Amino acid sequence: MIEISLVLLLILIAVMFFILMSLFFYLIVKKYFNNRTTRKLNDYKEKYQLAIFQYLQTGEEELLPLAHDQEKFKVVIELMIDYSTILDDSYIQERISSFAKQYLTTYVKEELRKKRWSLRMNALYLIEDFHMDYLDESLHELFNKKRTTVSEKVQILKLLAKFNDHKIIEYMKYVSDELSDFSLLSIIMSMEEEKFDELTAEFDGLSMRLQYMVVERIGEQQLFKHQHLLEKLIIQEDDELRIRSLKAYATTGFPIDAKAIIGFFNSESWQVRMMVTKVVGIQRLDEYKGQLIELLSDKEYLVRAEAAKSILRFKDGIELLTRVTEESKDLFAKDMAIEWLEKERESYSY
Amino acid sequence: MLMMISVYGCMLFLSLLQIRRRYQLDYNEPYEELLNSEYTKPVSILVPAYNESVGIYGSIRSLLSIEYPEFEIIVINDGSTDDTLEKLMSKLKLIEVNRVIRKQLETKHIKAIYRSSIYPNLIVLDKENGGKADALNAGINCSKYPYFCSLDGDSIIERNAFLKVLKPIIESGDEVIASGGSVRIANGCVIQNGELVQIELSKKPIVVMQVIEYLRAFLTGRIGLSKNNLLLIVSGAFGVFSKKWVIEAGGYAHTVGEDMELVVRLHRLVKEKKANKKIIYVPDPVCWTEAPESLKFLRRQRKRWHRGLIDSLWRHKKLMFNPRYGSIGMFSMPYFFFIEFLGPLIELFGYILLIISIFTGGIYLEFATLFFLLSLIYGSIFSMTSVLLEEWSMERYPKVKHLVILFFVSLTETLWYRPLTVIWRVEGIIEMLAGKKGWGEMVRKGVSND
Repeated sequence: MIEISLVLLLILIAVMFFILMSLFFYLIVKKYFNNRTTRKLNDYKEKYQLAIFQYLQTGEEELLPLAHDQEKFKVVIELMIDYSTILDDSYIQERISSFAKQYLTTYVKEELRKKRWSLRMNALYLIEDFHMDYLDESLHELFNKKRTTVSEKVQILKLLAKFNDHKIIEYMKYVSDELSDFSLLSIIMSMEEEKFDELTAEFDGLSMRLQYMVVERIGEQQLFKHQHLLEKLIIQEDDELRIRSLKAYATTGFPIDAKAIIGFFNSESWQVRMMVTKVVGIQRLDEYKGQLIELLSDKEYLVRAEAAKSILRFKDGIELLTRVTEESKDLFAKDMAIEWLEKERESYSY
Repeated sequence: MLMMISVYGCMLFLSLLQIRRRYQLDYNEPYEELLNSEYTKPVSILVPAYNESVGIYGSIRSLLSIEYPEFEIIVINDGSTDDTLEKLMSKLKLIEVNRVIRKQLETKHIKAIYRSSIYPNLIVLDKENGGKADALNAGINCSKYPYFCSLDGDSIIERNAFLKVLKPIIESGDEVIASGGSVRIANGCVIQNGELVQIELSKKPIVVMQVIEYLRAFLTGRIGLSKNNLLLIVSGAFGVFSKKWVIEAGGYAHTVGEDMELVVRLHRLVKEKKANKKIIYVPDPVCWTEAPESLKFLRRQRKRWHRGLIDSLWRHKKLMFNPRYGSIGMFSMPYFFFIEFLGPLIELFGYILLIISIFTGGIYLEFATLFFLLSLIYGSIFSMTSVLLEEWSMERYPKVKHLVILFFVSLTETLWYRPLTVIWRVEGIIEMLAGKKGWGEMVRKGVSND
């Protein structure tokens, strides 16, 4: 009995020792070859930098050091990506695209079908870097696969948005619940303006989150032609839409109907009070100076801070805040006024 | 014992799957957009400093050069008795300012607020000593951004670590309320002007052993737990939190393990509010920190960690096996109690039994030797697998020599390091039972070479 167990233990030890040694040798061999490859890649990069640059300038394909060497191929791709980000010339971009079409299409298509997520993602990045818009069929195929992850979908939608794909709006409506605000926004920001106009035309049929992001883009890119939408939205019931529209007014400086915002200073939502304070400061709406001074005593700290900042935007801002420090009985208002006056003295944009 | 092996085995397996999935991913692409986006969330970086004169400037230098669109740095001088404040004053050209502090958490009195005249996004709070938790709470009160990062004053952060640790927060649309990065050991590395220029291994086996230990803890332990939202620890050395949630949870508590305590409290709050929120670990962002180089200070640190562990578990004992708290109550808490906390006690009992049996002759020596060999190889497999995970994910150790050293040192673990840490952790339990409080002094020589 004991002898059998001892043998078993010995076998177990031998197996585990074998696993340990295999692991160890795998690691050192891998490290050795990886280091060698990295050195080789760096050498190639230095060697072929000029050749690739010349190819991009002249279009002479014989300058491409392709052969059948995987490492050289990798270096060429890396150099092309580097150049594509720094050289904006249309001829060069065309050559980069034509290179990709000729040498990368099959490779990228194969990578998109790989089982490992990281390889599929890398392929999607390559499509973006080389603007391979002719691969739209493969993108649709991957998008509609069951196993496709949310991060892949985001990347695909960004690409389809950039390529002005006809299905982009339909896809966005379909998956908008799965995606985060950040992802939705980055897709919307990638859209061609014409496609974005189409999306805006369907505004009422969009999910709330998509609507928020549409407003964000209008503000971010100062799309004046959609100003009427903002006008409509600030008077609607939904607080979040109101806040975002006010924010768009604050970032764009679109003239706002002063009468429309009169009730917002007493809004129950502090975010609405803060945003309207910001808009009043940016647009220097003289008639609301009194409200700004009142908001220096708001129960919400961020509203008080924004009010002080907004007052300083007026010509007589310093004077107004100085008066608050001398006359106000509210300690919160006083402290805030002192802090912002000090920041103003130091010309410190905080 | 079998339970321990299977739990660790499962966690290792999950980590392998997770890291393999991301293997060879182009690491620059996903971050380029974030770096150029205006929608990244600005971060307040809080650096509590108590007698950190040696390392503090290096840490701040590393922070000033991070790649992140918008951030502020708040250094909290927690009543240092050395020249930390003077050093900051002269190197950063501080000027005193009036600032209204939004007091959302109770803290000790803040004596003065300074702003650097060279770096406008750098604030220094000078406050009465109240401990690390109090300093962090003061920093939270003073911070202006919705997310904050707590960072130890003796740490060096990699330039793009913030982008990486914040990516899941930004992309999740506020579903992730805390995110922790990996911590590595800086002893032996070359650091200049607050930047890590060359990664090397220390010549001291005690430090190399800790390198292995950190790799194992982060890469095999936390990935598995994080995947299932079971993470109870976000390292105090480098973690990003949602300010709103932390304030609602009551901020940091004054305990020896304030980082773990906060995370448990956040989980508790999330479950009580039935919110869909996550606390995650991101393997890639790396923060380099100083490890103790002597047995004396390592022993102190381990005793303190163990006291911190039981302190958090005890404060939140209500969660244990409480189905209302879901997997945190049913898995995480029992895991940390039975395996992490009681594990050393059982192991020590085994060691003692073994020694007694050798003398009393109640042991088959052949069996004992074989079991010992088995545990030695098993431990080393674990260590080397974590090195493999490191290779598949970050590849921070550049030379073949590094891997050889890690291998041979890991083989010796069972002979000295493991028994020592077991004894220290049991000492921690004894100290806890004796009601010992406080941190114990820690001498720092600073990770920066400048």
